[in-house]
Amino acid sequence: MMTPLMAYYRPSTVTEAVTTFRQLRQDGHHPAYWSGGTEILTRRRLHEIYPGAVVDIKGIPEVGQHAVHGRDMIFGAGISLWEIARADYWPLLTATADRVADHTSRVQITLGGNIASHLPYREAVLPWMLVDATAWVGTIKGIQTRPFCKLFDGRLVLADDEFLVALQVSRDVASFPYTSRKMTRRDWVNYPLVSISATKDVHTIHAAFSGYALEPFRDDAIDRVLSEEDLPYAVRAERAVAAIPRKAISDIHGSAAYRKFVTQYTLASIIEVLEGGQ
Amino acid sequence: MKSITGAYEGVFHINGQTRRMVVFPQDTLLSLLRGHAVSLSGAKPGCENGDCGACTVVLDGLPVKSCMKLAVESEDTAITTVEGLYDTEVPKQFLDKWAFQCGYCTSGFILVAYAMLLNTSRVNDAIITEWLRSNVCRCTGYQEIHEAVWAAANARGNGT
Amino acid sequence: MKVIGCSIPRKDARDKVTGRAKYNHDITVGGTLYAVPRLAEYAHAAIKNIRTVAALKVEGVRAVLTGQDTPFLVGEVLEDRPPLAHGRVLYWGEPVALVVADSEEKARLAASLIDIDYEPLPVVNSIDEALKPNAPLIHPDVDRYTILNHPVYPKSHTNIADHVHVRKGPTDPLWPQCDVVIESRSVLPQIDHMAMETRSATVEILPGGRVLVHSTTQAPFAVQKMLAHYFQLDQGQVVVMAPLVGGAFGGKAAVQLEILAYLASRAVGGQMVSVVNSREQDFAMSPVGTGLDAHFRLGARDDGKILAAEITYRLDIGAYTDSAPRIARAIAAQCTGPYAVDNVKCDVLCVYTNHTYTTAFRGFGHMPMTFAIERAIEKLADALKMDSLALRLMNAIRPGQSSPTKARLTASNVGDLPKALNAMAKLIEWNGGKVMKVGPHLIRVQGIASFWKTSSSPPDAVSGAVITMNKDGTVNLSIGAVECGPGTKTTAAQILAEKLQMPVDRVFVHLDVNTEVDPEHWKTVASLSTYMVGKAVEEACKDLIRQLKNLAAIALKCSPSDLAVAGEKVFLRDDPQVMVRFSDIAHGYRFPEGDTIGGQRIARGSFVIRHLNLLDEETGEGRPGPGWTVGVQGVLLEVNTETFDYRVVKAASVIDAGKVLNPQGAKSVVMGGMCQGLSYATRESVVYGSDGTFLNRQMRSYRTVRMGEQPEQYLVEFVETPQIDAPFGARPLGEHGVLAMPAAVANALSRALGIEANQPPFVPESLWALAGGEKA
Ligand SMILES: Cc1cc2nc3c(=O)[nH]c(=O)nc-3n(C[C@H](O)[C@H](O)[C@H](O)COP(=O)(O)OP(=O)(O)OC[C@H]3O[C@@H](n4cnc5c(N)ncnc54)[C@H](O)[C@@H]3O)c2cc1C
Ligand code: FES
Ligand code: FES
Repeated sequence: MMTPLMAYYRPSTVTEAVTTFRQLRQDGHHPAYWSGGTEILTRRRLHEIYPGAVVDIKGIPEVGQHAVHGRDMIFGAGISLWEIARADYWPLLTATADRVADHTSRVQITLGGNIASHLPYREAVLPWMLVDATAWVGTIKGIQTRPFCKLFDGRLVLADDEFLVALQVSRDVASFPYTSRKMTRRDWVNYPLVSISATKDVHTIHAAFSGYALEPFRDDAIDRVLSEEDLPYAVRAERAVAAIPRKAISDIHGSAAYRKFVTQYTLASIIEVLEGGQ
Repeated sequence: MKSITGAYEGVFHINGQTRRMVVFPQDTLLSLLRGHAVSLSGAKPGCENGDCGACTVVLDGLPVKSCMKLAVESEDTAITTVEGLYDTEVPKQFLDKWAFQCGYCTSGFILVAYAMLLNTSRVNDAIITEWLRSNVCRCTGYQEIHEAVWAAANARGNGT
Repeated sequence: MKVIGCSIPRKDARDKVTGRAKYNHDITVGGTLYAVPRLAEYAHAAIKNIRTVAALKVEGVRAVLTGQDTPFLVGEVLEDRPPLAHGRVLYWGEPVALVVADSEEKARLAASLIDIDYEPLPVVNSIDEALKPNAPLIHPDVDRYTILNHPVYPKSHTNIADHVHVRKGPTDPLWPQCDVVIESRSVLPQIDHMAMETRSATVEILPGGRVLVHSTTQAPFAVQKMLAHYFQLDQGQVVVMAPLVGGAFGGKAAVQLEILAYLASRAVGGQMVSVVNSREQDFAMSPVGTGLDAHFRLGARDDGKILAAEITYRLDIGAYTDSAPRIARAIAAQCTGPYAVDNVKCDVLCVYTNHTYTTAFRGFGHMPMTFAIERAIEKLADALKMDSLALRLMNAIRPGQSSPTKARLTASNVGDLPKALNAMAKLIEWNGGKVMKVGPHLIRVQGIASFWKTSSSPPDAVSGAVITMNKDGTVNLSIGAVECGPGTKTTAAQILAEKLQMPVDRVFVHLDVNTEVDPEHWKTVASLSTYMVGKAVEEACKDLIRQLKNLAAIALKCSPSDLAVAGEKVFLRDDPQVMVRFSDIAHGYRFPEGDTIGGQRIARGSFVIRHLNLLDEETGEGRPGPGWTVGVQGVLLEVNTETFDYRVVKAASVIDAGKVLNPQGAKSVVMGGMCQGLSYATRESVVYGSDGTFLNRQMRSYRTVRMGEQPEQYLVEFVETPQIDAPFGARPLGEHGVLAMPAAVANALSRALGIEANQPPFVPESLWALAGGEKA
């Protein structure tokens, strides 16, 4: 059950959203942008947050867009992970998003909400860390575009009153070889011990990781080791794990040592899949 | 802009009926359905945290955990609860296949199965598993539920 | 007409699949107040100060209670638990204060605003820590607590709440005669019942003195007695209503929320107050299932005959005893498993820790117990280089032998384990547990384990049944057993229909329980309902048949002994056309002249278990239950030797059901139990942090089996060796599907990987660690 008082606003333009948000903030209501709402509701019932108002961005047309436009694909931040998998414009994003939470929850969880999540996982961000994507950001001046890599550094870096409107990427990425693996303690539906999305362009394997450390990451050094084609898969995998610049976490899902073990055999099989054709 | 800062009279379409009801912005769809005005207690609270699926209802043809949805967000959508599936195939098969014991999880499973059949012209084991593992049952062995869903799929021809 | 042995659809089926069946919190009354507890955020701490000012300021708050307002202790056996913590908190999640408010939201908000100063104390975070010399004492006054229900033997100045002894056989033990001796230790974590419906209770205290209680309880009559006892009421004043229960598994036999709801209602002038557990509360605050640390020493001749057993079971009962002393006695009474052992020394200890307190759990201690036994048996088979099924067969307990507490076993009171073992060998095509290679890193391996169980109810447990007839000849049945899921009410109706030879759909059974109108049934636990309720229903049927015949004899001008009853008629045995219908005599018989004799047919039956006794303090000698159900379970696992991931390909059960009353019903309750048992084996445990925090108190982190993770194939078979004093010979069955599954999984994994898998749950990480982990 919930604590009382949480006003609800559903603007229909970006500026209306930001203006409303600013006004609520100024009036001391501690507002939050509301997308799927799953995280806000779960944190609120545990009294971790007390948003006095939410600004639902799903009524804004740009937030709900989901289309292939010329050379690009555009994914609105308010699109559900279920819808992403249904339309399947970008197979790597489908594969990754389709393992977040459970099927019914994915009808509600949105791309933007997952990427902006306070939890350490944010699995739907992994494919975006491997490509040159453009982010549409909702600001007081309307929509601005920024390179996604400037916006995401383990977590989404936005001004308090800004929000993610959409992500845009070239259609070319949809044809890269890819694979995505989510490894859990035991269950199909669970937070990841490690979740890895990987692609291969010409000679380089790119991999992004969630669950392994306190936030999602990728690293050139890891990609270099993974791509050393003359070495056996297992050796590359072992070296790649050694090259991970983050500390593996230990928690109820698994110990740091076990996370490394799992990451290693998973990487070996990812390389095998990505190079399998050769 | 829709802005709701207190008691609000909304229009809800539940099981084919349109109702005007007063809700508060923080009310979940689950509490709206189970509250005195509607009294559709087929949707059950099992965790109110999105984890168990006992509260699942179908909104515009898709399954949704009603504990994770605000009532005000569900205005202008077609809401189907287990009570709305009275005398239909899925509950009938749950009965035939003994796919329940305590029955507390049952409406959630039935609604997910119903939504799956709406959205999938031809189901297979993998699809059934993927849709239904959103829910938890503590009494059955799951096989009974799996069989009931298969039987419901076959009853409508399963894509043939 | 045949009703018994048929898959009669359940009486609650249609309501349940249409969402119309009502559970405790489905019907709410406008104006009900809500009480929300504030839980301890320390596992062991002194409460220095509680400031309730901010909570009281929340609009709509009516009262805030703390331990000072509840200066008494409660308990099922030993009174050691304050309803709200007194001075110290003893587990993470213990209720410390209770807020009563107009709505649940407001009560929750206010509860979160209570400000509590704690002084942390050293945390006893395991059985070993609790038993260390100089361990912090969780209950320094343990020897001064009141004992409500004997026996229990707390040890002063220790964390031992109870100690049960079993001594059987020669005083100079048979160890020297043993060719092979093995030792084995198994450690099982606490686990949660996690019924899908969380616990809730509503209490209203009426000015006239009646106390109305609505609860998710499995034990409405225990709630009634407890409330009467602690609040100085006549039992008749307390009316407990238990509607359909959304899963229980023993967890709803404990009385906790009812007491809180009573206190809350009393604090607001008796208004109706509900306490509804959030899932987090249901995990951490309400009791869980006991953990176990068991040590076995088994000795055998080299032909496999087991000669001696020395066993210690140490139970992690958490911070309070609740039903733990009774669980300890149940374990003691069955301590060797279903094997004949002449020389037994067994000690069962209930150990206090700063963990959530524990209560009955599907199998009443027998699941962890069976795990420890069956791991030891397996190790013995290895040491003897013997097929483990053959070893079990050789030692299987049989009529003529005696139980560890020297209860005599007869062809009626104990099931046929050898038969079940042989049936299992066929069912899973037993290959001796050999490892079969099926792929580059894939192997398949079987594991089996046996179990036995009796009820361990108190010797004075009662059950009753009342039948009333409607004018049209249909009958109503009223019993005190709660419907928690296994179909108890349907079974009772079936027994009635068979006895009266009438269609079961003309039998209407009261699906809810109300202590004011339904006859008492001790508790809906221990899988005993079919036996106890069934006996009471049989008695009531006899009574009804007698009444029907007496009246019909007048109508038909014959003697009652000339008559028979079937098909809703009473008729002459030798000329069935001479008859009266039930509808002619249900509400008295009306002569053609119009005058009427006899009134409504109202029949009753009541039953008390006979010949049970409490176990002797020194030797454990005593008869713990009316009969023993035996069974064997097995699995076929596919294990990846590289990743340590595995799946359950087949899961099998053969249980001696005595008589299968409802084949589909029996199969589903066993399958459900198997799935639950596999869930414990493969993933479940309560996880405590190093400071005793209950870490996985959400379903997001306390994981259970979901669709797709159940075995690919369930194989369920029954053998039928009737228990002759039971209704139609049926043995208890409700809990048993769960009992040996974890052991069977462990036995298979141990063979598959050449490890000793003695500490569930078995997630790939634990197997990886056992196989050498990082160092491998
Ligand atoms: C049952 C269940 C299982 C889960 N399992 C997983 C899992 O396996 N892996 C995983 O990664 N996650 C998992 N999650 C957590 C999940 O990541 C979050 O609950 C979800 O991603 C939040 O998405 P939402 O659309 O509901 O966001 P919301 O709750 O609407 O928002 C989440 C946060 O992001 C902010 N926000 C929302 N949209 C935007 C935007 N466009 N721009 C800026 N900020 C924004 C909000 O203000 C809020 O702080 C699970 C959740 C549930 C309920
Ligand atoms: S109550 Fe909604 S998912 Fe559990
Ligand atoms: S039938 Fe009880 S939880 Fe599924």
